[in-house]
Order: sequence, then structure tokens, then C-alpha cells
Amino acid sequence: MTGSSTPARTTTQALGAYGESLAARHLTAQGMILLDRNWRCEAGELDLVLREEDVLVVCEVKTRSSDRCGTPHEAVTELKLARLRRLAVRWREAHGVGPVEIRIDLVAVIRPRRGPSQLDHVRGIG
Amino acid sequence: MPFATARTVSLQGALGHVIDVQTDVSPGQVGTTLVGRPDASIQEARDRCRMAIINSSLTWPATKRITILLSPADLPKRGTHFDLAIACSVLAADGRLPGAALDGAALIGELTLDGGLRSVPGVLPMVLAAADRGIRRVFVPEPQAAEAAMVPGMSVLGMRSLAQVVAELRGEEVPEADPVAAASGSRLLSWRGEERMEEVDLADLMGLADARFAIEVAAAGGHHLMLSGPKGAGKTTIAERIPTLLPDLTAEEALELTALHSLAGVLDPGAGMIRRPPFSAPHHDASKASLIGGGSGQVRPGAVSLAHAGVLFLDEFPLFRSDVIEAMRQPLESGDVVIARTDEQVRLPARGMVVLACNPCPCGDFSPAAANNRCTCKEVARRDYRNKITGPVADRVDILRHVEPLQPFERNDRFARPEDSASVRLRVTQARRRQAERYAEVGWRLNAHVPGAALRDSWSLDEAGRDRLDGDIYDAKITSRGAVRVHRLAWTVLDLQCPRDPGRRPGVSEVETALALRRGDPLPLAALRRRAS
Repeated sequence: MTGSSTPARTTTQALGAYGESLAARHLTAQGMILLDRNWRCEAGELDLVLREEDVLVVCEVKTRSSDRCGTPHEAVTELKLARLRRLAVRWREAHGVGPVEIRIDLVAVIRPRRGPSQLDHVRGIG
Repeated sequence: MPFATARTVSLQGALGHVIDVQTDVSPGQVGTTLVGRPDASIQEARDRCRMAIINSSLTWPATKRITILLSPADLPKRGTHFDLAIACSVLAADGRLPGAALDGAALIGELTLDGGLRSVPGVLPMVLAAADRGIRRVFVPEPQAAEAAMVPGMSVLGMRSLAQVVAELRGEEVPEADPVAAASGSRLLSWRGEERMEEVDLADLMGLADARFAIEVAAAGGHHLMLSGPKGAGKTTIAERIPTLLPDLTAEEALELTALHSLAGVLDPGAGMIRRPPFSAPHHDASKASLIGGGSGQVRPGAVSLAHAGVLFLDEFPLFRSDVIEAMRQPLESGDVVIARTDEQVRLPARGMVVLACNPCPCGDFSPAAANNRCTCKEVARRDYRNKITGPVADRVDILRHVEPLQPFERNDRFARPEDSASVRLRVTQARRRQAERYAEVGWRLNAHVPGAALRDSWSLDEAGRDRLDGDIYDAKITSRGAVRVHRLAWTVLDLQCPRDPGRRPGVSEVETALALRRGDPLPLAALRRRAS
């Protein structure tokens, strides 16, 4: 998945980038503060890192053009969750943030070929 | 509220527990967890339910975390009939069904991937358990509606598919659906003479006055019986005719027996309630589990329980494996079977008459009268064979009779018209009615069920009869278990006579007859003569 800094190459990557922008806009509109986008290290990538009051929120964004191959929600497996937890700790250490409460959120975006996109924000998935 | 409860029933032997299937549907990591000690087939219910809901054009909450609890959580649960309750509970928790519609109803049925319902074994005992817990409405697969409707006061909805159940719960018009296939397989074989057992009658048999008297007493009081005799003497023939002497089952017995057959999955869906006493004659190769009950996973009733309130006939009894013979001790003595597992104990009723048949020796030709003795067995073989017959199991049998082959003059005696089953059944029915009235307050049905202590305290023999029996105990001719059995037999002998005086107790003559019946001695002539008149 490519962030907004580099140009999108495939339609899937373009779709992913679109979803992440939509999610970032939605979450900041809810009063969350965006700290980082597409932060990477050798262990992987975090889509969005935000702050809601005293909680560090790591947000995974899943974008699909339809739920024909399962919902975006279903794509977050136990394995993926474990990686997100590890990455969240890495991000905190890399930015010199002390021990804070960490929450993992999911934003599922469905962008059909016609009609408006649907966005579902799930707080605390694991 | 993302939470709903549906109800179903879990079976532990013939004991039913109402299970709350509670479902919570809330945001979180997507997935379905099923907790509350489900077995492998219930774990698979998650996939069946998901596909059944989707293929019924209903919505599965695919973006939510689904937690399903089978409560009480400590009870191990088995079977595929949880599907319907799980599916409805998920739909209700997701707000697709009014949760209140699930109150006071039990849901039983397995789901197919296309949303159809499938029949499951054990519906009758499940519905009985539900009724016991005050549930008045059950949803069952359509072919089993008749079975469920045997439970009085129950409103039964026979359904074909999940879509129909959902429409009914929502109060909408129920859609059409394909009919449900019945649980039992279709019969591949039928042969001439298959219905042979329906036509047998005592009138087919000549002679055998002694054995006829014995089976009449056994049938009247529900006593266990052992028939011994050389091959070809007619042991099997006469044992097969015992069910024809028994009256129709009482409503209570019929329900118990039908429930047991339902549990075993051998109930014919079209046949309805079983009304006639069953006759079960397992082959002597039978395993312990098939005879007593058990098996892997769900405990299935064995032949002993399937013959509840009827006749279990073990032909060539000494050829049964020794562990099987030893396992018969409990049902012979207490009228039920307890199967203990690591985490559960299952008690099944097994209150039928047990009829054992054996030859006097392995070759079947041994006769104590030297002139008739064509036996070729070694003495050791004869002794081993006898050891299987005597011993603790034989001590639990009330009546022992030797069946002698018919003599030529008996075969051709045109004046001794053999009595038919119907007239004997009349006497047996009368005798059973007397017993039912006598034990009405305490709930036993037959003399054979009355515990020894109760007999001694409330239904003792008259004084002379008691002295006669005590004399035999004193002389060590009979064990005290034997004495209790003689006591019961004496009551049955008296009940068959239907004395005018209702207060009469068994006396010396009844005790003499009972002792002879138990020991295999020749019967007092008076007993046979009284019957002939």
C-alpha cells in the first residue's frame, strides 16, 4: 500500500490511498488528532496514528470496492492484530512517547463503482 | 441491545436440560466464538448457521464480533440440533428478529447450507424436558412434529426451513419451502415373513403346560424368566409369544418407550407413539454397548432400554460374552441402567421382562434321564457352560423352567385344545390391574418392581406362608434375595387367581407354587389344575 506522499501505482493501491484519506478526514472530524500517516519500519506499516484524549489510537484502514469477497472487517485476522500491537509499541518508542493506553481501531471503507462510499469506524477491535 | 437468548434442549441420556443460547453481537475483531462446552458438531454449527442465514436471504452480521454462549456453561453439550437456536439467537441479537418472540419457545433442528431444516434424533425427550421447564411452544423439523405433539399441552410448529421459522417469529406470512427429508433411511430390504412376529399366537403351540403357566406368571408380574431345555424343545417359540400376552402399554409407559426409541434414533416417523410392548432379541454376539447402552459421544440406549416395558429375549444366553452377561446384573436387579462417563452420568430406564434361554449343555442334547441322553460334551465343557448360567445373574432371575420336548402323545392330543393368547392376555390384564390398584399410591406398576423392604412392611405374606418361606431360608435352601423374589412371585400367583376377597394375602399354596417356579422344580399340580378349570 502506498501513502499519499508517493504516487499511486495500481488501482488497488489507489483505492487504499483513497480510503486512508477518507478515514483520516472522518476521524479528525470526530475530534481525534492525527499524529502520523503510513509510518513504516522494517516490521510493517501503520495506516493512521492518532490521539483521542489520552489514548494513543492505531487505526487500520481497509478499503474494498464491494463486499463480494467478504467484508473489509473480516480481513483483520488475529495475526494482523498481533502485528498492529507490536507496531504500536515500536511507534511509541520511536517517538519517545511514554507508556500510554493504546487502542486499535478499524475503519472499513466500501467504495462502490456507483453511489457514495460507506465508512464504518470500529473502536477497540482487540 | 446487541444481545438475545434462544432456547433449546441438551440431552444427557434420558435427562433433558433446557439450554439458553445467548448471543452477543458487538463491534470488535470480526469472528464467531462459541463457548459453553460445545462438542465438535456444535462447533461446526457456526459455519452451518452462517451459510444457512446468508442463503435464506437474511443478514449475517459479518462486520461484528459474535459471541455465542451455551448456558449453563459447565454442562457438556452434543448434537446438531443446536443449529436452529443458534441461528435465531444470532438474528435476534443483530436486531433482525424480535427478541421477545423467542421467549417461552424452544427451537430444535439441524440446518443445511441452503437454510433447510433436517430431522434430529431425540425430539420427544427434548420436548418432554422443555415442557417440564414450562416451555409451551416448540419449533421442530416438520417430519417430527407428530413426535413432539405427543407431549400434552405443547404447541408444536413443524417447520421446513430457517426462513419459515424466522417468518413465524416475526409474525409474517410463512413462505413455501421444500419438504424435509425424514431422519431414518429408507428400507432397502423387505422379505416375506418379515411381519411374522405380528401373527404369532399361543394357540400355535401344543402341550407345554408348564412353560405356559410360567410365561403367564412372568407376564402378569413382570418377572424375569429363564428357560432351559434341549434343542428343539420350543424355548424360542414360546419366548416369542410372551409379548402377545401383555396388555397395551399404559400412556406413561408408551411415552417413556417412545422417548427411548427416539433417543436411539430408531423411531419410525410415520408410526407415532409405540402402543404395543416391544420385543427385542439381540444376537449372542452383541457387544456390551449395544445391549446395555453407551457408545462414543452421545449415550445411546441399548437393547435393554429399547425393550423397556416389553420383553428382552436373550437366546443361547451362555454364548453371550461374559462381560455382557455380568453387565446384565444391574438392569435385572434395579430396572435401570447407569452409564458413567468422566463428566456425566446417564441413567436410562430398562424395566422390561428379561427372558433368558439356554441349553443344558453346549451340544444341547444333555438330559438327566439316562435313556434320552445323547450328549457328547465333555464334563468340563458342560461345567463351564453351567457356570455361566448359575452365579449372580441367574440369582436375579425370578422364574426358572425346564422345557422338555413334546411327547408324541401330546402332539396329537386333539382334545387338549391349546389356549390362545387373547384369553391369557385377559387374565394377565386383570392381574396387572390388581397390582396397579394395590401400588397406586407408591407408583410401582408391577410386583416385580416392588422393593423388598416395602413388601415386608406393607404387603407381607400371611402367617403360614411366611413360616413356610422362613423355613427354607433357615435351611439355607434359598438366599434372602431369593426369598424376596419368591415373595413377589407369590403375589403374582395370587393376582392371577383374582380372589374375591380383596384383603387376601398370599399363603402356603402360593408360596409353594412360587418356590417351585423359582427353583425349576415341578409345579404343584394344584396350580396347573386351577388354571385348566
